[in-house]
Amino acid sequence: MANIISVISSKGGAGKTTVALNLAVALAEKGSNTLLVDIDPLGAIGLSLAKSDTEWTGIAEYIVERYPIEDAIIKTKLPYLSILPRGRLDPLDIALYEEVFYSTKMLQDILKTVEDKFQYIIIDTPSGLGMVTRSALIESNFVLIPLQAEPLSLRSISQTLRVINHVREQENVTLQLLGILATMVQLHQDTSFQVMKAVWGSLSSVLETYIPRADVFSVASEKGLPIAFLGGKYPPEALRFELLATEIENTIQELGGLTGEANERQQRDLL
Amino acid sequence: MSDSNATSYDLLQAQQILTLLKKNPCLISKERDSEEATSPYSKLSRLAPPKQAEPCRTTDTAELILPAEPKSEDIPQTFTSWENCITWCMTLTRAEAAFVVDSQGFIIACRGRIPSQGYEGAGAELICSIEQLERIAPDAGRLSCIDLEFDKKRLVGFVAASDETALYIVGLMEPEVLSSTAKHKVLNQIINNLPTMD
Repeated sequence: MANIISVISSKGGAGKTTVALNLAVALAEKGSNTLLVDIDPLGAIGLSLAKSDTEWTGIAEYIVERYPIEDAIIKTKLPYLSILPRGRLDPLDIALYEEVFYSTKMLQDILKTVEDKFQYIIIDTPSGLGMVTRSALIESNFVLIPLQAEPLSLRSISQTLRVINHVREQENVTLQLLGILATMVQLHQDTSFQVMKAVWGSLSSVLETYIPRADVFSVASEKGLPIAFLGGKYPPEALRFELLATEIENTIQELGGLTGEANERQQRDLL
Repeated sequence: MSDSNATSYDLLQAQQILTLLKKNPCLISKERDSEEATSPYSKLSRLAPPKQAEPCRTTDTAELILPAEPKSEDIPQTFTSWENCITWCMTLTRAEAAFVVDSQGFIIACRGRIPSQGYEGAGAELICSIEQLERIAPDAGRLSCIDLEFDKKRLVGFVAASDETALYIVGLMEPEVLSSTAKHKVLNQIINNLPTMD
């Protein structure tokens, strides 16, 4: 049984894909077997890794051809990280893709097939609170909300929370909120600072870790890499994701999630 | 940006939901009714019937995915009469009418919104058509189902016959779109009950 974490946000551009990708990398770097699942019909994970829209097979082929889902999982060069891509979905079929997600148990079937093999499954969802996001929430144990540190994101947070609350009451009682993760924070900038002040002052469940806005994300995006994989000096933002991974592991443990073998430390010899 | 109106955020509702999320969901349900009554949102779901948790109804999606749960066509049915059989078919497929034709083209049972001229003509034409259609591919076996899309209506016909029984056609007017898997299951239910129906 894996800890299944959906990364969701009602607003686009909040950093869902960046968070999902770099969090998955950070968890894998810590030795936790992690699967990053891209259910965004736009295939944002593939695009972030500089893959063309038609390069990877994945969920779309599973839908159309009953392609074995295990065969669609890509093992990365990072030993504990695998990726389940969206596949070669025709953009004209996105409405159908969304319908399949919500009106069948396809995602449940996929996760059941793979969950024994992983300790963490991170699901990158599309922007908004539509059918694909709802189905991800229904099948997840935990939800993480990236909140862009700007006014529109903060004003729309209630929408996201309302949907999570509804799903928890009506469709998935095991769903738990991991927390709100502030992203693109610029504390030196007045608007961003005011937003963060309101977040810290008015909302509970805000994670201690926050992700600052930094050029390194654009550089990583251009190169199609997670930020921890960039050459040169190790970026402090990558360290943020290490801290985030630790905070999430601890929160999951507090919430009664599954810690798995990776958290059980073996005795080692020093000399 | 020093204007306090511009930088103030109404996060009361968000925090209320966050507080709810920390509670046991079972305890929340009692509070939910009162919350719904005072909800600031317009509820479209009050205008539309609630979405049923059933597999997709469109042809494409229904045929793409294997059903994950046992559906009513999977559960063995026992019909003592053709009336029972077509009632079950109508319930399952949400057809507006159904009829049964014997091998001579005579209607032996019908139910639902029956047109004033009845189904006699449709029954006879179906029997003739099936003979013609089987000639298209003589080595493809027995024709088991036809799915006809007209401008204004849909008609699905199941051809039921076994070695011991005569041929019957169960016609469904305006049913939901069924996957080929579902069609075969429905047909099997009908065929399995052929010996016991009168």
